[in-house]
This record gives sequence, structure tokens and C-alpha cells, in this order.
Amino acid sequence: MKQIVTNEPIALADYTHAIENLLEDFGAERDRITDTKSALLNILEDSAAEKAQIEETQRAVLNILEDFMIEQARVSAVQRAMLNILDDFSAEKNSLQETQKAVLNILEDFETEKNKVEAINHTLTKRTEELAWSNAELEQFAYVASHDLQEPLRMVSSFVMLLQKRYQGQIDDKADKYIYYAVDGAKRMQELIEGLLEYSRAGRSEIALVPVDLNEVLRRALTNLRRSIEESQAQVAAQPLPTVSGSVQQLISVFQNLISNAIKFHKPNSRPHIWITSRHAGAEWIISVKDDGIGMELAYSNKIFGIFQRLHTRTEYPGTGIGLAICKKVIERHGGRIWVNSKIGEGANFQFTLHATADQL
Amino acid sequence: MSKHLLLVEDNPADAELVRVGLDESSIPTKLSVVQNGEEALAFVRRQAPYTEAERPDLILLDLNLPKIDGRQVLRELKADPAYKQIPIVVLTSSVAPGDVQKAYEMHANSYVKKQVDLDEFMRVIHSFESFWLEIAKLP
Repeated sequence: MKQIVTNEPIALADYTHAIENLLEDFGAERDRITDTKSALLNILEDSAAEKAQIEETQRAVLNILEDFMIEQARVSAVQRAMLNILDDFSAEKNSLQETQKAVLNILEDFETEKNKVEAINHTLTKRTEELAWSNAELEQFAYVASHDLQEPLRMVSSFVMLLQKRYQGQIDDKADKYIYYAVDGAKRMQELIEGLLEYSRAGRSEIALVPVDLNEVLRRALTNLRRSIEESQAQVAAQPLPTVSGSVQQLISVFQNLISNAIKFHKPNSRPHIWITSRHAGAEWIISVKDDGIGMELAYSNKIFGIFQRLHTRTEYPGTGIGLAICKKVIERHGGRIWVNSKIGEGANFQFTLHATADQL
Repeated sequence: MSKHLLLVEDNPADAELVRVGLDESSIPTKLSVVQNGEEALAFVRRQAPYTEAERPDLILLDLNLPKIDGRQVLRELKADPAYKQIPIVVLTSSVAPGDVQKAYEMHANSYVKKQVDLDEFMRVIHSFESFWLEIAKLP
């Protein structure tokens, strides 16, 4: 087209022809264009339909995608949750494993401990058996020894006493003194052996525990001590006492030993006062025998319950040192405890526990 | 007429104490001493070496003796019609309830414990002597 415009010196007919040609061409062109246009339109139409369809599809896809996204979000949320859970779980698992390990360690330790404890237990049981055996043997020995020793001792003491009776003042002062020491020694040995016999008897047979009225026990102990109470002018004050589970004879000996001690260890030139009281403590009664005597140092408060243990010379206070050992043995065989509270110069308070009878519980 | 007492005692010291006790009293008593059960039976039955022995009026018998012990002496004499009327007093240091019971079952005429204390021992001997050799009428 540009070429045509620049070739001006062309004839009109030519122009017309040219224009007609052009028009024709144009027409053809126009037709073609129309065709093309219609084709295009067709195409476009088709394409529109296509587009709608595509759009439809796209929308569907989008919908699907949207749904999928939602789904996916949900899935990731779930996944996250699951991961969290798994995370937690793994933390949990770790701590669980830790715990398990710790438990295993503990169990292992426990096993070791258990074995140790069992070994100790075994040793203890064995020791206890051995002790019980040697205790029984010792008691048997004490009984037999004291019983058999009594015979030759009876001879010694009988004949030195006979010597004293028949020949005192007939030889010389020295002879009298020697005989006196021999008689005194024999007497003391007799007391010791009798004490030992009494002590071993207190542990020999099984005691039958029956309801025992301690008022009656006290009354009988005081009757046995009548002479020493009169001589010392002791004042014994007793509260009403309970009925306990025990052995009458053995409990009489406990009261008798404690009261006779309270009388024996009174302050010089003063009349002994003794108070006997009781109080309830759970399934037990605590009995107290308290005096205003010379008392003792706290350091000795355990020692005095040992057999043949004494805190004074025989010249100061006579005795064998067996009384409190018997008390301890009797009370322990009754399932109780005995102890003393005391201070020098402030008297002594002996206390012991006994089981209440079943109806008092 | 003094009574004849047979003491069956293996311990010479105890026999001496009995003798001392009897001597202290004014009751005239003839005392013979044998040291075991075998001798005791032979003495009562006048078997060798006691063919010349005088029949005792009363027997004081210890239980624990060597060879034939006091229990067997008691059993044999109390089962023998010739001697069962002779009173037998058991004198022993045992006070085991079983011993006491058994002695009376075998017809002991009494059971006396040897006292540990000398004065008590003497008191027992004096009481025994006074009752059995003075108060009691013997066959």
C-alpha cells in the first residue's frame, strides 16, 4: 500500500481500476476478513464455550484445590498435631526410658540391698538363735552351778560356823578374826549363790500370765518386808493400783525388791518415805516406786540393773546386787520395761510397765 | 534305853554335822553310819560285814548315794516284811517336787531338807531327834 501512494503520476482509470481492484481486493480481503472474522468468531465462540468450560473446569479445579487446600491445611494441622504428639511422645518416651532406667537401677540397687538385708537378716537370725541357745545354756549353767556349789559351800560355812561357835575366845584374838572373816565370806557366798539361783529361776520356766491385782501384790510384798519397815519406820503411801496381766509371785518379788531398796538407801537419820503410784499409757500401766532416799548419779542408772552390780561397798550398804537384775528380768519377761530417774541426794523413782488386762483395753 | 539310829550318808562332813546335832541334846542315842545303799541294806539285813549289827530303830536316809542310791534302799526295805516297819526319814538337799512325791509313794515316813544355814540344820536335827527318838512310839 505504501508503494501505491508514492506513485502519483498514474491515470484515473488506472486509479479507478486500481481502486476497483483494490476494492475488489479489499472486498475479497473483506470477505476473507469476514470469513476470518466469522471463523474467528466461531473460534472465539468455540473458545468462549471452551473458556466457559475451562473456567468451569478451572473453577472446579480451584474448588478442588480449595477443598484440597483446606484438606491439606487440616492435614497439616493434623500432621502438626501428630508431630507434636509424636514429639511429646518421644519426649515422653525419653523420660519414660529414663524412668525405666532409673527404676531398673533402683530395682538393681534394691536387689543388691535386698540381698544385703537378707544376708544381714540371716546373720541376725543365726546370732539370735545362738544367743538364745547360749542364754539358755548360761541359765542352765547358772542353775546347776549355783545348786551344786551350794553343797560344798554348805560344808565350808557349817564348819567355820561350828568352829566359831565352839572355839571363839579359846585360841587368841587373831584366830577369832580369821574365823570371823571365813564365816563372813561363806555367808556372803551363800547369799550370792541364793541370788543366782533366784535369778536363774526367774528365767527358767515359762510364766503363765493371769490377771493380777497389784494391790494384793503390794500387800503381800509389804507383809514380807514387815520387819524392815518397822525397823526403819518407813512410810509407804500407795494409790489404788490396777489389775495387770502377770505372774503373782514374780511381781511380788519386783515390788519387794524395789521397796526394800527404797528403805535400804534412805538418807542417814531420816525416815524413808515411799510413794507407789500408777498411770495408764495405752495398753500399758506404768507403775512408779518413788523414794526420798540418797538417789544416784544418772551415769549409773543403767548399770544398776546388771547382775551383781553395786554402787556401794558392803560396809556402807549390804546386799548382793541381784535384786534389780531380778526385777529387770521379771519385767522383761512380762513384756515390759524398767528404768530409773534419779539424782544424787534427791531420791529415786523406779518405774516399770506392765500390760493391762484384756478387758481394760 | 537309848534308840539306835542308822544314818546312811556318803558325805562324812554331813554325817559329822548330824552327830554334832545329836550330841547337843540330852536324848541318849546310838548312832551308826554307813556310806552307801549297798552297805545300808547289808547293815539292816545283817549281812557281811555287818553280821553283828544291831537292828536300827530308825533310819535317816540320804537319797543321792553312790552304787545303790537311797531310792532303791527305800524301795527294797519297804517291800520287805521283815523290815518295812522300821521308820525311814529321808534327809536330803533335794527339794525337787518329783523327789518328795516319789519318796512318799515308796512309803518314806517323812521327808526332811538339809538346811543350808548351820543353825537351821541343827534345829532340824534337834526337832527330828525330839520327835522320832523321844515323842514317837516306835515298833
